[in-house]
Amino acid sequence: MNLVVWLPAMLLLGLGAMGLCLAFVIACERV
Amino acid sequence: MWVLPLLILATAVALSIPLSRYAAFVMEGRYTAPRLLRWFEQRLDTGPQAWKQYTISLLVFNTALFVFGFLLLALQPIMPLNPLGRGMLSPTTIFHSVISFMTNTDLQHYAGEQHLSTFSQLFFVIPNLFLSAAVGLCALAAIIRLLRGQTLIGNFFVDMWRVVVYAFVPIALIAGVLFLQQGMPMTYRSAHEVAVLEPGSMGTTEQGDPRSQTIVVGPLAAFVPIKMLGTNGGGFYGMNSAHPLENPTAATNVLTTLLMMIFPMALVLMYGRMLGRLRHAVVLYTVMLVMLMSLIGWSIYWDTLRGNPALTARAAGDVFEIPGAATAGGGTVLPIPAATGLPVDQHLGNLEGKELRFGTSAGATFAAITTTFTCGAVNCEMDSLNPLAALSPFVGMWLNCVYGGKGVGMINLLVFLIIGIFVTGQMVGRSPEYLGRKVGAREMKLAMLALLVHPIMILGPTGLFAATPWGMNAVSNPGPHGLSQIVFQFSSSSANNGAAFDGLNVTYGFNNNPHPAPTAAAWDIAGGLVMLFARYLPIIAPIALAAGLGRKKPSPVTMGTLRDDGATFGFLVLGTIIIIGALLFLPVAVLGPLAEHLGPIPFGG
Repeated sequence: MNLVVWLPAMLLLGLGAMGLCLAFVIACERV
Repeated sequence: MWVLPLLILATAVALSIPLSRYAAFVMEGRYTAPRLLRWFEQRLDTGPQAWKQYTISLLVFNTALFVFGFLLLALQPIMPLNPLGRGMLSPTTIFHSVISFMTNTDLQHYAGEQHLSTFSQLFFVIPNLFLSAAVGLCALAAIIRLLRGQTLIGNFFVDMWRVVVYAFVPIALIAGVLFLQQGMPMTYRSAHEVAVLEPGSMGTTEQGDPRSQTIVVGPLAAFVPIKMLGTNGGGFYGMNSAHPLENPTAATNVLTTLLMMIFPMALVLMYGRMLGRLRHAVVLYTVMLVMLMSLIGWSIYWDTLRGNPALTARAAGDVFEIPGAATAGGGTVLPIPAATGLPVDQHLGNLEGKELRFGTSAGATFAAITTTFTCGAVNCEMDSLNPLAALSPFVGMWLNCVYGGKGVGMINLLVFLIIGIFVTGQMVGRSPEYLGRKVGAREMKLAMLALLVHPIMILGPTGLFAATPWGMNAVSNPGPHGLSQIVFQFSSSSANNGAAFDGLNVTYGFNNNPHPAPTAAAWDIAGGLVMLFARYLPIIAPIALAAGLGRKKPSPVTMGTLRDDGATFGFLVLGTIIIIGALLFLPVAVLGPLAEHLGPIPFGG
């Protein structure tokens, strides 16, 4: 795998997924 | 045969009672630590938090764990304690592994002894074993405080400190000393080079000299206690608890099994103690115990008491045709293995993939326990269980509330409980109540959100992978068994279990590996995302649910109130779990293990 592409992509994917979980907290508050 | 599971169950029940008292003592903040530890605790205390602050702290802490783990694994080649020269794992495997350990899943798409340095085992794996295990317990403590009506529920970081330092570390230390006595290695040395008894059996060098064997070792006696106590399950070795250095004796097998059981069992009682409703917790505990005993009994009945029919039912050299359109003739023809015709003595049951040094029923017992308690360590080959015996691990992971993981198992049961109470209330025409507070539309919406994440995370990716080359090129068996391999992988990921069915070709290995599994990257990414969402969403929604429920004014107990501390309530909870579980997962069970059992030999029978 091309590290220049895949390494930051995987890091950002994980951070993005955690960001979605944070958004889920806000969504649950509004239910 | 039955002595081992009964001994384990009785001991675990006996240990869980005092441990529940101690866990409640620690989580209520009544334990007074030595001055130095108290100083650290005070430094972590950023003040009491409301549910949203607490939950966001939990997520931010886990995000920090993700970044730390990612950097550490990415930098493995240049880190110290790497005399065997382990390189960098592929980026997708790093992504999968970091999320796996951060979420307490510990599903491994690599083999520890081949792909990780001692540094990575010490500073990436072991801290995650402690910290990820504590997160679920903290989430449960938060829910209990919210259900008591508190708006400020303590501090997440202080709770984490208390769980790790006052609960996990002392028990892990005691277990570690016992493991050392049983012969488990504890060393910073990475490997031993040994001459084998039969020179040349490991091959020869270019000069014609017999090769020595490299036996990877490391700090196992520090690793294994928290691996089991924290229901983590990720192995130091690829063979996990079947490896003679990771699980040296029958005694360590019993002890490791007990370690993975005691906290999830104790936390159900802790729930009752902290709420002041111990009788209610005892009912829930009993429901879980009945389900656990059923699943252990089921796996022993279908695996230890039965041989493998494929070994004796057909003659060697015969062929077997799988119906379908895989070939021009309309089917796939497979030769029956030569071993089939051998006169195999199977009076000890299905012995394929078993470690008999632990006892005849140890494999089936461990398989049922490790999947119900979301540990995921394995001491036998799950892929080799008879098809119906394999149903037991599946059910344990699908329900995910037969004690379950530390804290999260009880949280999952709470979701089932809320739904059961609501449905019962509707059936008898009364307002549904839990702990005296009315269960309304908001609670039901959040409970359904929490409940549906798990089946969506299992069945969605399973369907996608079973229908595409991602799955079809990774399975090692055709037909229902191949489907079982895919379902198991996503069930294990979504339940944050980490047990591997094996047989799936999902290892990429080091980034410079010239021959990685062709679809490994897809499995890494999908598995990582499933583990992450299935970990945090079913924690967040119940915390929000408890926050809303706890704010409501308790209603006085009347003649019409459904008592939550009797046998009727127990049957209500049990019935809810069975009906919802069957509605969600029976179809996939029919297509996988049940079809395999009912299908023709050698894959069925």
